[in-house]
Amino acid sequence: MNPIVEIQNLNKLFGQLKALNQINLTINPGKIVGLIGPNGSGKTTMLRALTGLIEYEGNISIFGRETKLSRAELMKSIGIIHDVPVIPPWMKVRQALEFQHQINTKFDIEKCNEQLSKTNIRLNQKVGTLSKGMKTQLHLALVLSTDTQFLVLDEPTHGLDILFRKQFYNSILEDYFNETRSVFISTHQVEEIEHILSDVIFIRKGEIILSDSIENLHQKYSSISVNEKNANDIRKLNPLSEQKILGSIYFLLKNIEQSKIDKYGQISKPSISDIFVAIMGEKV
Amino acid sequence: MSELLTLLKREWWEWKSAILWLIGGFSFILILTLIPIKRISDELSMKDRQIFNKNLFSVTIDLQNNSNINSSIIQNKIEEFENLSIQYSFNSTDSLGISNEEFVIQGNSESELNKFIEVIKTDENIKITDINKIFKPDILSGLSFGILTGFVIIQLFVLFIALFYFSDSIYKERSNNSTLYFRSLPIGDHLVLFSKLKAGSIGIIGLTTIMLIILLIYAQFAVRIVSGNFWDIISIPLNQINKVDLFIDLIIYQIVTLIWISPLILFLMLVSSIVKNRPLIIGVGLPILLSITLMVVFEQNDIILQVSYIFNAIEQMFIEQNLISEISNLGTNDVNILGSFWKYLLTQRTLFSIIISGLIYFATWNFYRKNIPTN
Repeated sequence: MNPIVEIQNLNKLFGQLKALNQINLTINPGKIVGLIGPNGSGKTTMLRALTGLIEYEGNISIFGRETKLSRAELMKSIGIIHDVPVIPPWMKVRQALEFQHQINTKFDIEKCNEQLSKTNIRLNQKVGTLSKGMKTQLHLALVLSTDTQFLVLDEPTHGLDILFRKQFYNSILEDYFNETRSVFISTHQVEEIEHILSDVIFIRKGEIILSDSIENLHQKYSSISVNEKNANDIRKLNPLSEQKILGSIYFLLKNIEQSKIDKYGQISKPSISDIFVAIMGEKV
Repeated sequence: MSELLTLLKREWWEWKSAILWLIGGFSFILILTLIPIKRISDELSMKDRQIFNKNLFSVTIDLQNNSNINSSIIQNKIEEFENLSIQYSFNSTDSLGISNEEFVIQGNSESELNKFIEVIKTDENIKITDINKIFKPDILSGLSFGILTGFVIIQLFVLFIALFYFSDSIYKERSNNSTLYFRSLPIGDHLVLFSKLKAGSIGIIGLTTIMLIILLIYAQFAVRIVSGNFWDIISIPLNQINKVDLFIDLIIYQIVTLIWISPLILFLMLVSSIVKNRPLIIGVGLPILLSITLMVVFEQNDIILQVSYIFNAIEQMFIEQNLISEISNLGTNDVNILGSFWKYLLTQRTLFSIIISGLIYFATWNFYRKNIPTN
């Protein structure tokens, strides 16, 4: 199956600042890829370059077409939710639906009405009068009602409560995702999305420092909690991180066979956020 | 095409309430002024009212400015006619930059006026470029002036409102992040920018036309209050005008006006796509500063002249088409609709405007793609 996204040697400069540096990336169908990085690491810049919203150096192709040259055409098959509310505040919800319907032939207005009927959003309300959560719900309904193959989410649940965040990602999984589609999510709240990801990319200062599948990460990285007596033995293995919690010491190890360390303490699967914190904490 | 219509509809949704309030407010102010007109009218005697309806004829004679004819020669000629007088004379420059010496002769006898015209036409020393004769009751004179002034005020007012529209057109979407929304939809950047230009142009023409119609309806009521039947008064000159031509001219001249002011419109859109705040002040302030600098440093008033020519063209169109009924066998320069249209459209100013607008548009398009948010 052809990849949905191919990025080669992507660079982006803002004046003297290198916002993106030699990014290479491929996203295949049926993947939910998390782009994880601290604030200011280049996540939003990367997503905006990917979707042709800003200019860039290098090659980005989506469905085999260069983003720079075919942005408008590609947008028929791409859904985007940004980190800020973007639907014009003067628009009524009904107008937003009508506008989307007339602009994009792949938009299903009945499906959108059905999605909105599950929320508290009324069709005659102005977008500007909706709460932040409702604006995101509206945008999500518009995006999920469009027959796209690739969904780009730029910190979509930023500033929203936990209930809504759960509901949001459940909708993505239940109403959108399948093996022919892909989702690219950027966030700095790792723990929020790690359970739905198939692949993960860590980005720091515009550079990709890790790109792998969740499955591989769980094979490569292991976490062990040991007592003070065994800690020095683990330290000899060059752990990525060490953390003392309630009398136990937790270590994160990379490329260590479990059979070699299981005698020292209790081994567990590290969370993506643990790996992220450990890697981001490393000196470059 | 359907995408463009949808984008135009989007502009309508956004600006609908502002436009309706504008039309409502304008109508309300005009209706309000009918009250003092009624009060004044109630105090007029029957004799006063008859004066308004007194028939007068006048002829406007345009002379080549470089001829050796001056007002004293015309004055000498007119002294031979008992009931004729020079109402006023002045030097004028039309929107094409051609200067004329213009005389308005008034009298209450059509035959005497025709004799005068024959006399000056046969005089070899007089280089006539145009002659227009009108039948004009006094009230029509006031009405003509009122409507012409009203139209120019409306045009100025609508263009003033358009400054807000164009300076906000891109800036507003950048400031509320909706540029990200529109650029995330399958619409090309050129189509978005073109829809804004087109919506603004339709807005200017549409709003001006609607407000002019309201003004004409208002004038009808005002004349009825003061002097009786509006249509009786203006029916004679009105019958001498081709109304279809008049309407076409009105639209065409607005299009010509739009072409001529397009550099300013696109400059405002350019500013709107660049600045982080106050697009109107910067967009209007910069040309004003530039024109002041040009005037003070280089003693040039080109920018101001360019703006004044636009309004001069509108005024000229009204004089040619609406307020003056031409006597074709006397005219040396027939008022020809298409002739007038091409005369104004195919000028250096039009070419200059299109080239400058094209360059500014290219810059606007580039900044529109780069400067997505204002923050």
